[in-house]
Amino acid sequence: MNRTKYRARGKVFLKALLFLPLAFGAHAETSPPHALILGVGEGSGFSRAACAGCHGSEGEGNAAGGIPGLRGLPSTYLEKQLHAFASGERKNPIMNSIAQALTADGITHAANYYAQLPPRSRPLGAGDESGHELAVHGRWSENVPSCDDCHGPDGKGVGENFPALNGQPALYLENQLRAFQNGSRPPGPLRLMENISRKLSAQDIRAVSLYYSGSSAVTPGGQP
Amino acid sequence: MKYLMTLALLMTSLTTLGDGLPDSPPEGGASLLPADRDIPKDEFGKMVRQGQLIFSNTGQYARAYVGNDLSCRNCHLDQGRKAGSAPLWAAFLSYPAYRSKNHRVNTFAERLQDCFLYSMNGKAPPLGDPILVALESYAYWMEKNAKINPRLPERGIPQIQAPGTPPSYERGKTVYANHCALCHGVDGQGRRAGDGHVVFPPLWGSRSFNWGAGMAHLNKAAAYIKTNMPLSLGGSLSDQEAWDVAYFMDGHDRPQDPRFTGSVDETRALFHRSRNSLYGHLVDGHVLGNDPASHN
Repeated sequence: MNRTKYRARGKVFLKALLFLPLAFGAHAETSPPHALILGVGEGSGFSRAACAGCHGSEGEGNAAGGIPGLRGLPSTYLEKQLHAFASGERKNPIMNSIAQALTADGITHAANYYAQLPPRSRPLGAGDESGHELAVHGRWSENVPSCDDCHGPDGKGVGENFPALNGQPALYLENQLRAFQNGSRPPGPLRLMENISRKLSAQDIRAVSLYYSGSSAVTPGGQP
Repeated sequence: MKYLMTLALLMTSLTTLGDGLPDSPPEGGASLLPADRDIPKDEFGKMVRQGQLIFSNTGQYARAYVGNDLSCRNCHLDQGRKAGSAPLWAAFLSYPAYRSKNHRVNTFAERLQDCFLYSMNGKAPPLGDPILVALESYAYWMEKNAKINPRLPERGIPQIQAPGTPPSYERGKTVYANHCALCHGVDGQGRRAGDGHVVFPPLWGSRSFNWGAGMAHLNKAAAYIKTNMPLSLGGSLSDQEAWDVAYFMDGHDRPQDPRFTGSVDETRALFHRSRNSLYGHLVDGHVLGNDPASHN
């Protein structure tokens, strides 16, 4: 059992190393030296450095890779996601093997660490009208509430069950909405997100994901 | 882009917001309401936008007249657009009208005053106050530019059948835990975003609507819940579940009725002589309306 864990941890570490140049290349100027500490961790398989390899030295995520920011997300939410990755309910080849390598304590440490980092929000998707429309008004003719109705003004998140969308990479948000649609991510409380995502077209998903990413790569009129 | 309701709907729509209810729930093919970008860029448009701001963040933009944590849009979904959640555009078309609540013909502005007095547990802005002018402008603009489907009874809140068995606090508690607590909190006090903005409104207690509000009546609460809750899953609860959870919600104390005479019994006899009001009733060990916390 222990040996499996160690081996898995090694695997994780190697994978994390693979992504290190990507993360540091993109964010070298903002990386504080402490983020370079490479050590196996704060507890039970959690290594801040290993997570930083993909999620950024400050948990800010990576837009090009579609890797989510973790800063300031609620610890219970992060914990739930790591357990879902570990059990395979939430499917992602890299995160499945990483989460399996963490003990329950390691999951708690990782979740608490990122939860206590103050979130960073961005001004949102100027110019993308259809994304803004869904985000702020929803499409009630099909019983689709606005994203902000639950995720809060500017999608900055509400409580433990409605994580911040603000500033997450468009590619990540897009992938999650598709994952809710096809069941490769658990449907969330009351199956809310499964139900809502299935009423969205590919174009809706693209537009609303771009809106919350705060990305400027949006053409007026909301066309992808 | 100007569409008018048919004369027939005008004739049938002269009932009051929440008081008179259409007889079936809305189905597909909802009316098309104008988008924010259609708001004109002139003096009138400025007033419409101000009305929209008040509607969305009532405590912030009408602070002097609000005594709780609610905003108009918490119940009137999609910023007062959504059919079946007592939409603002349909309410605008429904006044002046006689209301049994005060036994006289009320104008739309007077109806808005009552929203502040009861649902917002505050004070009525005086007639002609810019707050009422802004809200009326927003309602008028929305109605004037709507493409309204005259075949659909979208106004008010669709009526709900009488419950099969009398509503139960205990059953309602279970429905609440399973379907409502996620957003409104286990304690019914709602949830806020990190910046303090109320996202999910409190359903009872000192920061919610008072005993005089329509939502404090079981039939209106059950009908609203059945049609609109949980958000995005309207219609998913059974009628019985909607009645039970309405009973649970309205079986908690809340701010005193502003018409309070000094006696719960007398106030009940004067204003709550209805089986749809639990005011003055013993529920879960408390006589409702009698809680010192409700007298603020």
